[in-house]
Amino acid sequence: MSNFHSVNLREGLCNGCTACVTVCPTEAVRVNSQKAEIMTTRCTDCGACLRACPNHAKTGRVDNMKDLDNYKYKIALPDPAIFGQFAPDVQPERILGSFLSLGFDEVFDVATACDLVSKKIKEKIVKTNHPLISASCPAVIRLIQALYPDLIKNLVTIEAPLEVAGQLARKKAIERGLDSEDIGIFYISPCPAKVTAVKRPVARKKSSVNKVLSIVDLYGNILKFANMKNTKTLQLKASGKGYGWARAGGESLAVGAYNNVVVDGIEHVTKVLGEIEIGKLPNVDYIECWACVGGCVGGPLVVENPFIARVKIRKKAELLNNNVQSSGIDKLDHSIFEWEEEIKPRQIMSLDNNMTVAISKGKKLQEILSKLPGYDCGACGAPTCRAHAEDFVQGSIQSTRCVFKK
Amino acid sequence: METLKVVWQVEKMDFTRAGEGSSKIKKMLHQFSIRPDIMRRVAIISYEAEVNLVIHSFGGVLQGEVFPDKVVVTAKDKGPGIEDLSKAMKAGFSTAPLEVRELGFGAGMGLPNIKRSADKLDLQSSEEEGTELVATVYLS
Repeated sequence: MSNFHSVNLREGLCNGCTACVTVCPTEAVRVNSQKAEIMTTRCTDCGACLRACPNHAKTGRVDNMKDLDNYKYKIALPDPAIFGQFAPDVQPERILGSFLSLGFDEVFDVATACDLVSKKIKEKIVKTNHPLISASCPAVIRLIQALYPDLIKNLVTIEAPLEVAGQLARKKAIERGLDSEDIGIFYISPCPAKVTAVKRPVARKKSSVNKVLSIVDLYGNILKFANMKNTKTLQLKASGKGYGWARAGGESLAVGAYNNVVVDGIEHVTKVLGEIEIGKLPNVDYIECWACVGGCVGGPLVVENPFIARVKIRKKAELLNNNVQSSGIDKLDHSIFEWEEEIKPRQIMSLDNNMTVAISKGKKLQEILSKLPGYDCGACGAPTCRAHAEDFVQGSIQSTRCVFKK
Repeated sequence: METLKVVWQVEKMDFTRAGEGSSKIKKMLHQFSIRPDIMRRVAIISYEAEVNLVIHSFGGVLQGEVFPDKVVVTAKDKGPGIEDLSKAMKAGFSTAPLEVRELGFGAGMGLPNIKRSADKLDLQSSEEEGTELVATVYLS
């Protein structure tokens, strides 16, 4: 299970069109026998393939509401992106309250953890070597591990808000006398990358969150309960900046990084990381990278268009008080903010661990590649001619099957 | 000894393609289980060498070659040669024209960055023969 990934294929819906194959930043998708397949060792769970699929054949591998039955005390952790999903007349207080109607015993707003994490990142910006790269998007972390391993040292070593929220929620419930075994913490996620961040965390052994539900799966029920008269309302406790984390740029605003760069969309992220790698951004303090266009509001497991959701979040955030914030942060155990483990590189594109063998495979690859047309059309099921030659050299296909080969 | 090579033609002042050759070299490096810091040093060397060819040469060839124990980046051009090698190696010294600087290139850090990143650097230059830069990074 070390290669768990959270993208699921609904085979019946996949017609083998290769739309997903060409968008993957780590060339992890192939089409074989008219169905898409993910190379689990390469997948970073960025969700680009989910978004690209015209047939909606790919979904996030999330848990479901039935899992609530396994716990005596259920805590919902809604991601701030949820507040951009609904029409402006649906009050955020009612969105939070609707989780109680859904069967949860408590709601811990992840935006409050965003406020705390902002404060910790702010401290790091002052003290650390620059440029610092935000570690909030789990897909970006996995991309860095795979393609830009020397930039791991530039990542901010602060836990993402979802993990901090999970730990705080559990701690508070235990302090009230509950048994940790009885507590089920359910994160409400906008994307598959955060599902993987919970199921297979990179900087810790085990996540404090038990289960992950998606915003899209809960959307209908939340809307129904938020509009019911007898639904309880829960007060918003985070600052506007905390809620602002849901959109690209919100994190930089919250941490007060003005000498910053905000990049959203995985293809842009790969380009900018490449520039940082060769030292082209020497005067930048903070780099906020999001796999999804618009940030978390653009996640593949949300409902609203990212551009519209982004405006909604911004407007809501602007109406809220920004002074609420991290009161009591000094009383917290600060280890909850730090990574438990060092993040390691993942050399997923390597042909072989042995240099000599890798060189000889590389030569064979070049030889095959010279006979392919270089159209990168995807008709063979691989994203590029090069990837197709690589599959052959690595033995995953027995012959090249190029329709254009002379 | 078997080696793996990427060869890339670089055209004078073709900024639209500047960086393509070095990214091909980087892609080749990803095929090996090379230490991340080494991979980054080669990426810096090949990018800077490529940009130097674009800005300062009449065009040339960028080459990355992987040996079992080292990576060698070679940039060979058709001229016009570097007038003063010791000056060119100084950080901040640049002969790049204003229009190039306006594009954000030519800050005079190319050769110093290459020198800093390479374990071994050979630089030969003359007006007749052009310039040949050979930068070596050892894998261990």
